[in-house]
Parts: sequence; structure tokens; C-alpha cells
Amino acid sequence: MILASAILSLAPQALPIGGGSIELEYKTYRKWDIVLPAEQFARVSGGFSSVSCSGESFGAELDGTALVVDTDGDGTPDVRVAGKKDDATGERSAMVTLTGTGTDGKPFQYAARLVDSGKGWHFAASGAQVGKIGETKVRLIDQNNDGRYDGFGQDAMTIGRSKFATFLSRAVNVGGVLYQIDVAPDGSRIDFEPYTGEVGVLDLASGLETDGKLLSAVVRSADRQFSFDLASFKKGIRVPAQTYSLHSGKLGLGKSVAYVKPGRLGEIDVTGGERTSLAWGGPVKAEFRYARNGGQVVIRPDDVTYFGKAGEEYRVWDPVGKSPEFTIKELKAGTELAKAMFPGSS
Amino acid sequence: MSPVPVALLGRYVLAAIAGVGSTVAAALAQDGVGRIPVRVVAGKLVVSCDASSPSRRIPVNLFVEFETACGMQLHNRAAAGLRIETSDGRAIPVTLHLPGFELVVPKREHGDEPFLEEFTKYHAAELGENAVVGVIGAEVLENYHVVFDVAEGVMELSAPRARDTEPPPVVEGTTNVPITLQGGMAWLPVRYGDGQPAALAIGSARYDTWIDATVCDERGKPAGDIGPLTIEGGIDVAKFVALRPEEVILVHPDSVAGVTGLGFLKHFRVEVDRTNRLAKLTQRARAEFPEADLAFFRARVDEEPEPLLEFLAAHEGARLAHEAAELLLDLSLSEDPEADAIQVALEWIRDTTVEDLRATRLLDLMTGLADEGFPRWVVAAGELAIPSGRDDRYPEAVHNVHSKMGEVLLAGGEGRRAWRHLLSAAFGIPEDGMVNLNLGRYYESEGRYKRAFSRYVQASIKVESGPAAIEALERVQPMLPDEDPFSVDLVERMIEGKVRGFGTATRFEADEINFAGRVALVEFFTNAYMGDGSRGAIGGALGNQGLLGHFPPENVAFLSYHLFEPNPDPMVNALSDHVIDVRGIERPMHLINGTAAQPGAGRWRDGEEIYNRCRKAIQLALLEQSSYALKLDARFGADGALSGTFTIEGPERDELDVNLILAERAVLFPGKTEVVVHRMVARASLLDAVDTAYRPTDESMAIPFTVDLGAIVQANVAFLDELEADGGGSVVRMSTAIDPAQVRLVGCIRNARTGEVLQAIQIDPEGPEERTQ
Repeated sequence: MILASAILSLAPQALPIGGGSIELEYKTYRKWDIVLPAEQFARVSGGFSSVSCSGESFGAELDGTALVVDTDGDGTPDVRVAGKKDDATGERSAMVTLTGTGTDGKPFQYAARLVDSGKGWHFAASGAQVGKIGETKVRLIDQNNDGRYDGFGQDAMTIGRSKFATFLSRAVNVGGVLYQIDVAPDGSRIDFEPYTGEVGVLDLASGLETDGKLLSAVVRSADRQFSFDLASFKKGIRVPAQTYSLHSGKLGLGKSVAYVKPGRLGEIDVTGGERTSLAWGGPVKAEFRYARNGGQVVIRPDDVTYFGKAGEEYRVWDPVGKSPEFTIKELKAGTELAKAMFPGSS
Repeated sequence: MSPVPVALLGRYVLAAIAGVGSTVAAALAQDGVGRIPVRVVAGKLVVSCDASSPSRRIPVNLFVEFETACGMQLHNRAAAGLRIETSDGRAIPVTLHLPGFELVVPKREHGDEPFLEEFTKYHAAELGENAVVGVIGAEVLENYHVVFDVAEGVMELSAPRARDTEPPPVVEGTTNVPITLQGGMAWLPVRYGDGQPAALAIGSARYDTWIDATVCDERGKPAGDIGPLTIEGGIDVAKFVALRPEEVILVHPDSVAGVTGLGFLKHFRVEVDRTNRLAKLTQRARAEFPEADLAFFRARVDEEPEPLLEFLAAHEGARLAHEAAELLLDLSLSEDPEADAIQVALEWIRDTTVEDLRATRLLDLMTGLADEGFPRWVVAAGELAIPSGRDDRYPEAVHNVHSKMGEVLLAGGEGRRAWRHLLSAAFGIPEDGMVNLNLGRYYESEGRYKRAFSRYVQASIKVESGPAAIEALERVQPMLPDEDPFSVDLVERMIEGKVRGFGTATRFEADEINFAGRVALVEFFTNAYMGDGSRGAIGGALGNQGLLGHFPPENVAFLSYHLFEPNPDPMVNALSDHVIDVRGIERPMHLINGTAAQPGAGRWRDGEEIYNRCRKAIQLALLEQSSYALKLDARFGADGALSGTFTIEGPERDELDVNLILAERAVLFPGKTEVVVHRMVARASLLDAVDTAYRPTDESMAIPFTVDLGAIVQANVAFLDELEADGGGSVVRMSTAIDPAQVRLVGCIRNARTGEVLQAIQIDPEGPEERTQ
């Protein structure tokens, strides 16, 4: 349920920093822990052709199960990536760093996580352009693997200490102040100035009914230009007056997590000068499909879908050790015929 | 939890009656108090016990994690050993035999298996002979009255207490603290220095006591030194431990301060009485604030190498020194991969690792550094590892260190130095593919071709080294005039017995009863990257090999097409693309006469079963008659071109197509499946259209053809280039050449609509002696 109420006054924003530009530097993350809203791995198909911000072409070819990579773009393969094999899944993973000179003549660096889960090598960014607006850390991530950082609505960014990224957004909330930003294609600079458009407050945290902790709640505007993570703002934050939709989220409790997708949740309109909040979360309703296979009833974990009260969908419960208990009953008498749970669960 | 909507299923109603997160309580099998010995190993609380099912009993180590939201997690291998799950998902209870106490857990849950394996690998000596295979969590422990007495090495479990009607007695030295229960956890009420209240969960999963990083940030103390954190009753946690700032993913109505760790539990006997919402804390050890811990938390705040270096220099031997050294390496590499500080970081990692695991740890590091393209640091780490090799817990570690160093040095042009390392490696791991490949490369560079050839042969059968080794064999063999010419047959002879194969004891002999005149066509769809040497394409390939050995070519024709999934191999081509598309093939299979599908993949030991199923299907197909007769003549000309005529005789009908395919009897390519020789690989159609309509004149149609093998190879390579450019995946450029000696032609006529093969034929072309064997 979406609730909107007028805000008596939108307190004028205190502007600790006016407009300006910041320089960002590339940083490699050898242990990647940034959670991207729409992480995607691109296929290494003869090389890293989609990494286009560089003047070089980074070729790659298979050598047995390893990948031989031309990491400096000089046409000669120089690194053989064997990867660390996960004995449980058979997946190989590694990291490689591509270096050279960018199209603008500046040094170019691009660290890539490499994964081969049995379907060939794929890659995703393992680094970010890092800078600070005031004292607040800003990281830009090439989420769509094209080697650029200026894909609003496609690339990703984090604000502050959070490891949960939003889509790259034309407006960012830094210390409660809304700024409009522009990003250099190579991610080396952000120009920012106070946001001057209509503003409302969007609050997803206070209306969530859960026993867990809301770790991320990424919304994106319908035109994909604005995106925010609302999880840590218990009273909501100022956002441009736009129509938003929940893109993704994550709930946690200790080591247990569940992922949130929009499911049947509709759009969320934020009107200028108004507060918009959402009543969502529990109680959760499960729906499932099943198949008959001879005398057996087959239900797969993927066949069970969980919906919250606003229609949002919960999936990929981790650990997988939690399962609904299924009971098959005789229709008329109600006699219990069988009980089942997913294997390895409780 | 609300029931789910009811769905009708015939006569039955299928309903889920319990929801996600339902708790299964462990059953108490024996009354009384269990005093269970526990140990702190590398910051984890470990209990050793036996786990049993009705059929098995095994000794295990388990982590005790009071705050982790799970019942009992168990590694797949332990679960398999105990046989506690049936194939339809039913669980068989597990009994944990603790000293004086037994716990029955109805179902296990999955855990973090890579972490369990890594922990066992690095702490095997402290753990004893048994691996850590799981976790006992909150959903089991919350059913008991629990006492942690970590200082005494004991945990007590007993039945929940009765509800007290009187206030708890005051015992000198013991602080009674009212607790709250939230999310399956027991929480202590605490106050910060400014008097603000919060809740601190009682935990045993980690050594450090965590403080929520947001709390620290709000107080401007990112290193966690926020001042007092006082439990109701007066115990200031911050006097006993340095609070570690981390993201704490827990919820409590009073706001979450953090979670206690074993460092705190070592100072207090903590008795948790859930029934009466009471914790009793009795101090066991004097408060000695761990300055070194706080120093590390401070050193990591800025994410810069220098403070970590200072911490390591000032706190040698500190508990967190190894973590600091690892972080130092991470940050140094991220900042400047060429900086000398990395050598220092590597030395710190060595020095902060126990002596008998130094080679193992540095080897793990070398693997990552090699992948990341830091050969200088791979060698540096190797040099640090080798002196510790003899003392390492894992004897093979040092051999792998030598192997990795040899590989990197050879690639860097330091052949002689590389050779010494590779020889050392070969001494310990003589069958390793990369060691043999690199030794072969070294010998080849030195002109010692016979030695190189021998090493390449050994490398050719391993997936990681096979493709490169086969290319090398082809390159080196001409340098050895006394050896047989390089060919698939030569390699097959050399690797015989080293790879899996499947031969049949019997051979099909056609007679009037079992063969009605229609030659069957077996089309095998496979991929060299599907699965590994134990399951996947290997099962189908072995079955296929058995069929090739059992059926004579005049009765059964064979073709294999390579699928594009999971990753295209070099034997995919425009022809396989077309056939897979037209026939709608989505998985590995054998297709008998175009219609009868049989398995094409499985475990290697399923090879015989696949062979048997296909053989029976083929035998049935051979009983079918045919109205069509095929004749195929083909010959290699002196110019290398292959030409001939394909003649089809039989009645004209709508929707009949003819195919004429050029195949290679054997192609060398060691993929992940450990199949080295791929058989009857379809290379190209010899007709203008793969499916050419049957248009006879007087019930006969003759199709002349001429083809140049070089053009086929060129077209197939161009296809792979295009596939890569279109994002279809990286493809190894080998095994694309076609050996005339291996060429076999397969023709057939089939129903274009159903795909049914009505007659087939296969022949080996005639040709000049020098082009055939």
C-alpha cells in the first residue's frame, strides 16, 4: 500500500558544499563485496571487446580451461588465467587487470572478475572510480561492462560506506542534500550542483514489516535517470519528484538473507512537497506450482514464489536450508497423504 | 505463517502448511546436564562428537554458533556419508553423540561448504583427525538451558528451567542480567557512555565482539573505540575487549549495539536461562584490554597500507597480525602493483602464518597473483614458500609452488631457472599436465625434441594442458625423423590406457534375420566442455565409442555434431548449427535414424548403460526395410580435391531430403570431459543445401560433388571467428584442420518433416597413397 501525505514544509536544504567538481581515482577491489543492483557478467568472446573506453583492444583466447589474456592490449597475450576452482560447484574464478591508455590519452585501468561456471569465461568489473563529495565517499562502477562510467540508469554507484550500490543516478543525496551530477565517460570526474527540480520525500524503511534488517531497497525512476537506496533512511530521503519503482532489495538477519524483487508491486509516485511511504513486507504469502510425474507430485524450489503485502516478491532465500513444508491431503476427507520438504532444509 | 492458497490436484489438495523459517526443534534423547568440552580454534568455538544415522556413525567437528539462525548445518559430504537423505528429499534424523548428552536433529541444513573446507585445510592440526563439517546453531540451542564456560573449555546443555516465581538469588561474583529474546537470540541490555540504551546479542560464532559500524560512525569513532558499553549490572564490555566495527545485520526493538564474541566469553561464564529471561555472568578472567586489537581496528580505518605496516611492526605476533598482513597486500596491490611494499606484505603474510602452512598459504596466494597478472610477485611469493616446503603439512604444496614458479619464469624467458623448478615439481607430481607441458616447452626451446615430445604426450591427455600439448606434438614430431608421422592414430596409441575408453567384447554380424537392408544412421550430439571426466559428455562419448566398435560401418553409419552449450568447442560449425536448429536438439543425445532419441551424456560409468540402450534401439532400426538404395563414390584427386557422386534410387515422394556429410573419423581435442579423441565429427555438407530435396528422374537421382578440404577448414574457422565476434564465446583455434586420412563420407535420405532416416551409407574415399594411411 502506497501512502502519500503532504509535508508541512520541506526544510531548506543545508548546503555544506555548493556545486563543484571532484576527481576520482581508479581502485581495484581484489575481494569484491559491492552488491550491484543488476550485476551482469559479459561473455569473454575472443577478448574484452565491450570494454571500450580504452584505445587498446584486449584479446583473450582459451588455453585448455585457462584463459590467456592480452592485458596491456599490445596484441600479445601476457597473462594465463587458470582461476581458483571451487570443488563444490566446479566454478573457476579469478581476477585480471587490463591496463593501457584511454581514448583520451590518460592511463586506463580496468580490473575484471572472471568466472567460468561451466559456460565459458565471463567477466564483470572488479574495480571502481572512487572520490569524495565533501567527506562522503562516492564510487562509480561499470555495471554494464562497457568500460565506461557514465551510463545513467545502467552503471552503478555507492554513496558513503554502503556496499550496496544503486544505479548511476543523475541526482544523489549526500548528507541529506540533493545534488545533480554529471559524470565523465571514464569516471575520472564528477561535476555536481544542488538539485533545483521539484523534490519530495520517499520512505520505504518505516513501513516495512519484517523481523529482519532491510539491507538495501533500490528504487529507480521510470526514465531510469534517478536511483536511490532507501534502506538506511528510517524516515525517508529527499528525492526528485518522479515516478519510481522498486528495482531490488535485500533483507538480512545474521547470515540469512532474502532478495526482494518488485513482483506485483506497482509504481510509486513521488509528488513535489509530499511524503510518500510504502506499507510492505509481512505477512508473506506463498504461491506455488507443481507437476505430476506418474504417481509423484513434483515441486521445485523455483516453483514457489513468496509475495509481501504490497505485492513485492521475495526470492533466493539463503541459506537454502529453510523450506516450506508441503502436505498432500485427500480432498474430501482431508486425510493427510504425504508431507514433503525440499532436501537439505529444515 | 499464513497458509498458501490451495491448489487442486485431481482428488488431492496440495497445501503448504508451514512457512519459511519454520523451526524444527532438536529432541532431547537423554535427561540431565551435558558438560561438553569445547575448544577455541582460530576464533571459532568447536565441539568434537560423533554424528550418527541408523546406518552410519562418523566422528565430526562442529562449530557452535549461538546466534546463527540455523538448526544444524552439515556439509554435503558428511550428509552423504551418513545417508540421511533419500532421493525424494525425505530426511532421516541425525543424532549428535556429545559427552553425556545426545541431540537428535530431524533434518540438516546446507552450510558454507567452501569456508568449512578452507577452515579444515588450514587448521587440521588443531582439529585433530576430523574435519569441521557443520554448525550447531540457534534453532537447536534455543531449546536448552545453555552455559558457556569457555575459559574452562566447557559448554553445558540441559533442559529448560522451570519458571521461577522468586527473583533470582544474588550470588557474589555473579551478575544477574535480564535478557530479551528476539529473532531466536538472547540479548543483553547495554548502555553507551552517553546513557543511550541498546541491545547486545550473546554470540559465539566469532572471536571478536562486533559493534555496529553505524553506531561507531555516528559517534565519530570508526575504529570502534566508542567508550563504555555497559551491560545492565555494571559490566563494561569495552574494558574486556576491543569492539570491532562491522556491519551487524540484526534487529532489536531497543536498537542493536552488536554481538559478543569468544574474546568476551573467555572472560565470563555466561548462563542463559531463556525461560526466566535471565543471564548470569560470572567473571572468569581479569580484564586485560587487548590494545593490539584496537590498534588493528584503527589501522584499517583509512584503507591505506602505511597504518597497517606500522601496526605489524609494532604488534608482532598479535592475534590479528595475519589478517593485517593480508589486508596490507590487498591495499598495496590496489594502490601500486609495482611497489616494493608488496614484497614486504608478502613477507608479513609468511611470518604471520604458522610454519607448517607457509608453503600452502603462499601457494594459494601465488595462484591469485598469477591470474591477476603479477608474475613478479608470483615468483617472489614462491621464493618465500620454498624454504618452508619440507615442513608444510601438505607435502604436495611445495611441488605446486615449483610448478607455478616454473610456469611463470618460463613465460618470462628465464628458461634455465624455470627448468630447475619444473623438474622439482615433476618429482612430486609427475602426471601434472602443466608441469609436463612446460617441461616440453623448455626442451623444445633447447632443441631437445625427443624429450619434449615425451613430455607433450603426457600433457596431451590433461584438460588444462591438452590443447597446447597437441599443437606442440604436431610441431615437434617433424623434428623426429625416426618416429611415426604425427596423426590422430599415433596419439591415440600413445595415450592408450591413460584415458577412459570403452570397448565391446562382441561385434554385430549381419544376417538375414537381424538386418533388413536399411543402414541405420546414429547422430551423436555432444560438447567437449560438458561436465568433466566423471560425468557429463563423457558417459555419452564412451557409449558412442562402444557402438562404433560393435557395429560394422556397412550396417550403421555414425556422425557427431557438437553443441554450442555450455561453451562452443572448435568442432562446432555452420553444419552443426543448422542440424541442431532444424532437429530442435537442446541437449546431448544419440538420435537413431533421426527419430529415436537415446541418452548422450551421463556419468562415465553410465557409458555401458548408454551403449546398451542405443545398441538395442539400433538393432530395432536394423530390422526396418527400406525402399531406397544409396551409392556413394568418392576419391581424392592429385590436387587434393575430393570429388565423387552420390546416387539415390527409390520412389519419389513429397518431403524427402538427401544429406551428404563429410566427417572425420577421429579428431584430437582434449576438452573438459577428458575425451581426447572425438569420433565421426561432422565437418561440412557436400551438397549446396544441407537438406537437398530428393528430385529423382526415373526413381534415381545422382548428385556429383567436388570439394576442397582447405575451403572447408577456412569456412569453419570463419564460422568460429564470427561466432566469437557475435559474443558466442571464446573458442580454441585448434582441431579445425581436416586430415584426409580420417575423412569419411556419410549420406542418407530422410523424411524432411519427421527427420526419419530411410536409408544411409558411409564410405571412406579412395585417394592417392600419400594422402591416406
